Amino acid sequence: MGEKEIRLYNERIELFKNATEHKPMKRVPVFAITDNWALFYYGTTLKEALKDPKLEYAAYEKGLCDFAYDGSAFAGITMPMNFVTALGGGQYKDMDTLQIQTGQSLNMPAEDYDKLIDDPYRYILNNMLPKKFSLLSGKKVLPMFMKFASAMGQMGGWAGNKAKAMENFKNNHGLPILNSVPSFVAADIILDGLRDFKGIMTDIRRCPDKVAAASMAITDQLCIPSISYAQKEPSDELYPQLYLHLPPWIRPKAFEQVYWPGFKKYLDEFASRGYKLIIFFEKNYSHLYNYLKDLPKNHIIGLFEEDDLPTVKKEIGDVICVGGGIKTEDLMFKTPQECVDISKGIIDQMAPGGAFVFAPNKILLAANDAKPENLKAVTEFVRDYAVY
Amino acid sequence: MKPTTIEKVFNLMDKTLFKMICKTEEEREAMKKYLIATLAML
Repeated sequence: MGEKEIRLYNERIELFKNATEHKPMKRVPVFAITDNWALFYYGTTLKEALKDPKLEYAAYEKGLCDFAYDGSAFAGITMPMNFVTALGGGQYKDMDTLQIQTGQSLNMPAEDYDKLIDDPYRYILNNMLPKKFSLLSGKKVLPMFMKFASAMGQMGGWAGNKAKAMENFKNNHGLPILNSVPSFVAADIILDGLRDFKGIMTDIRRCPDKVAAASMAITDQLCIPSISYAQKEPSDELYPQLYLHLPPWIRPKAFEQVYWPGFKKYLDEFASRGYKLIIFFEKNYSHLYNYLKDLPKNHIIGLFEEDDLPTVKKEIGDVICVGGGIKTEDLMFKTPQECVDISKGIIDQMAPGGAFVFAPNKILLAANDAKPENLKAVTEFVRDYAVY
Repeated sequence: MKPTTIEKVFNLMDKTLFKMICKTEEEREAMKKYLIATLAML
């Protein structure tokens, strides 16, 4: 690692650290949340990149280092798709953007809530996984063991490639990848993995106490115990990531009953151990600020998709570092100068007082999520303008 | 209760691959729980 890269890396880590901890910052950091868009930008496909880790790295290197980013949420393809393919099943059918489509994740009947509450580990292992993955539905132990061990090799390969890519970004470009292994909120496991959207919305109406109990059981027995595996120790260079899905769709009262207790307990546990987190507040959270005010202070970068950022900052900006900025629609359909003007407005409103990270409002997944010339103009502008 | 087929497979994984990856029993338990949560989401 050269001197320039070391200096850049350390400066950038400090930018994000100070933003998260509400300390004085030299400038507003520019954060990349670039997923498969990097593959389109490079001119390859997910299918090709999954076969070739060098190609994958080259694509993400171009997708990140062609722009004036100070850090990135991702170092490569975000899902272990070769592992999923080896297992035979799963819910990622769209192989261009890796988005789950509604209707793919109904894996538990409503009648099974009591079994899930009683022992979430055994329930998921015995009742859900054999239905979901053909490799895990066999009757003979030894053949299943051999195939599963081989599939786990794919998972290990994916994790190893990520670690290597992160090291390369650090050494070659001084670019922090603030990425730890993704973590999961219990109620979102129920939504995304067990009951699907229609199922859980019905459950919240008919048996909210069971949804709440299942959420706490999964929090206590799976989520919290697995924190140390998600990331062994707290670090200013690694932030576990959470993607919130259920809250925008439910009223505050339902949120308070079924989502908040497990979510709060989980985050408090992370914070008590000294971790910092990045939370993707997908869709809109304006109906929930009263709860979000009680999140652990100085531990979270919250990336907001649809909320009005100045309002977020006013309501909860003293608790979390607010992240977000230019809309992907603007990055795609406006001119570079228009995008710069929009970014200037965002910085003028959000930068005072610190604790702000500039990023697109959504993860860049598809080719039409941003024009490269607009991303270049915006990232370079914010780097040069948003100086304290 | 008699272990199911998949439980037997995970028990074997625990004694072999997971033991290679994780230094302590506590780490193995954390890994297994993380793995189950991840598989639920994939």
